[in-house]
Amino acid sequence: MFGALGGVLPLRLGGTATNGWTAAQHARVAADLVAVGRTTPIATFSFTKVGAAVTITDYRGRNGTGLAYAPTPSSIGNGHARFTWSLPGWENESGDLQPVVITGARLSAVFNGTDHISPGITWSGVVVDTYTESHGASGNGLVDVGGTVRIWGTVGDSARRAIGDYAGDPNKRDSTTEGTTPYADGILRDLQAQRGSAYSTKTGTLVDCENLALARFLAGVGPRNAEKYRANMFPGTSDERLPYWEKFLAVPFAADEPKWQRRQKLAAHYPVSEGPKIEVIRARCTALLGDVFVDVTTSAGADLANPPTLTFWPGINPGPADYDLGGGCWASERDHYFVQVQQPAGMTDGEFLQLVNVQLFRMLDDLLPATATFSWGIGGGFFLDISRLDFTGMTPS
Amino acid sequence: MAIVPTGAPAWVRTTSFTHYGGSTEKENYLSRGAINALTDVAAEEFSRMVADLAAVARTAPFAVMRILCNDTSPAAPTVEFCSLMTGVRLTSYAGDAAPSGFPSAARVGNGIATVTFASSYVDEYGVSGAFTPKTALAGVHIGAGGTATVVISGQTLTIRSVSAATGLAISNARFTLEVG
Repeated sequence: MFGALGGVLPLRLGGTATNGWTAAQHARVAADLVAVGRTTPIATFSFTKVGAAVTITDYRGRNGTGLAYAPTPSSIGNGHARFTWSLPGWENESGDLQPVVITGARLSAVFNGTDHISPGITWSGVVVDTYTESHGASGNGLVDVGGTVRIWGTVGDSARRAIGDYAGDPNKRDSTTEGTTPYADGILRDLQAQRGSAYSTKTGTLVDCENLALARFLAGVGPRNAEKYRANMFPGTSDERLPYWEKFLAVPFAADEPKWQRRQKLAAHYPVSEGPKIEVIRARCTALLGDVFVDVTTSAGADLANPPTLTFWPGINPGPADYDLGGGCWASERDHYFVQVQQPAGMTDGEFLQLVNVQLFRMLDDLLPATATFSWGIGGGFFLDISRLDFTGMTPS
Repeated sequence: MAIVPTGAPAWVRTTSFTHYGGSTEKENYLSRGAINALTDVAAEEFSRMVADLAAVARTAPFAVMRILCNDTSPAAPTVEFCSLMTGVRLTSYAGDAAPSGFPSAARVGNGIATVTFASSYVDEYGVSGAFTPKTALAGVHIGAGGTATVVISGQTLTIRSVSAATGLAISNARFTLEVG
């Protein structure tokens, strides 16, 4: 990037190790940030307890560092302390309240003479209770000692964080237009040349500031705009034109769906089909489903001379008359595609079902020939649809 | 001239999203989003990145260590694994011969060890940041009931591993220590 010429948002990926941020480096940042975000605690604090006096001595939370962000401590009884946040959520940088859900907690007690201290911890909502029980020379029972509490959980939609939230995408690449040199650089050189030697080109002068501002403006309304129009012509690189592509490709989306997810789905629906080969079906499912996708399998062999029993091919292999669907239907268990999927942690049922029941259905319906059938499921198991179990076991008699 | 990062290293716990370039007023130049979504990072995505990074930097432990007490033939504990914000040591070292930049460990008695941290550490850019242990959690590795308790005193932590069955210290205890 080129300092004041290119160092503006949106960042154009590319450049060198010393003056840029490449797509590969950005991808590593996005992936690692998602990774540490999943396992890092949401809060850690230390406390002391002496009789009824419970004092938090240090607090670090995703909401902030310092006692101002800490829960209110109180003593419930001997060896039993309570920590309560006043609100069910924490404010983010913009002051919006983000709901907090505690999913795990751990207490480590401080040393108390020669006794064995059993620490215990429970929580309900945003109220955390700690217990410290002594076993040893001073007898058994709850005793007042301090400790360190570590809490895991979710803040707002943190559990659903994905690389796309940080502009990550498996197809991310360096910008071929501004990755090394921004448009504004060329325009600045032109402006300096046009103004001639009577005007200063020295950095920081009034003329230089004017040239820079003009160069950035012209780059923005000129070549950057043109590039933006080009990018919007394809769903995989589109931004403002996503609603158009959603209408054009008839791909539904949820109201709160982030742009990167909408773009990913549209890109999966967009390519001209290479034909319903198993490799193509796998690739398209991978592009659409991402982490949700596990595998696509077929189940009935490849012996073309001997089609499986439940093959309905009018005139050639009519199939069992008892199970005939009528109307000259063409279908075969060999031509059935089973998409094995999984619901990643953090994905809601609504999001998951929208993806597999709406997005996946629509894509496979377009991609596969009319004779093919398909279904999805979690785990290997067995499937119905075209099977004797479906025809006989599930049919009222 | 080498660049100097803004703010202090993560373990000082003073970094905010603004040190990573975040601002609640952040916007795309000329209010225009990604020029090409496959090559760009827009203001919205950048803002999420710096806010999340600030959040995890506040709560991530500074050190996670696995330590084995040597009580049969009394000797300094063995630090079997040590992961610091400043680096990871996968091979073990004797607590009294700590490699540069890693904490030392000493034996106090059966199942009792101390771990001592430096008062400051240096990040990849050569920026030094003060470190004082404020939080510590320890878990003893034992196939029965047991507890490891920790006392923080300045730069030194004392960890005592105790058996639930006997209430006595566990000889040759192995424990995991997490320090913030």
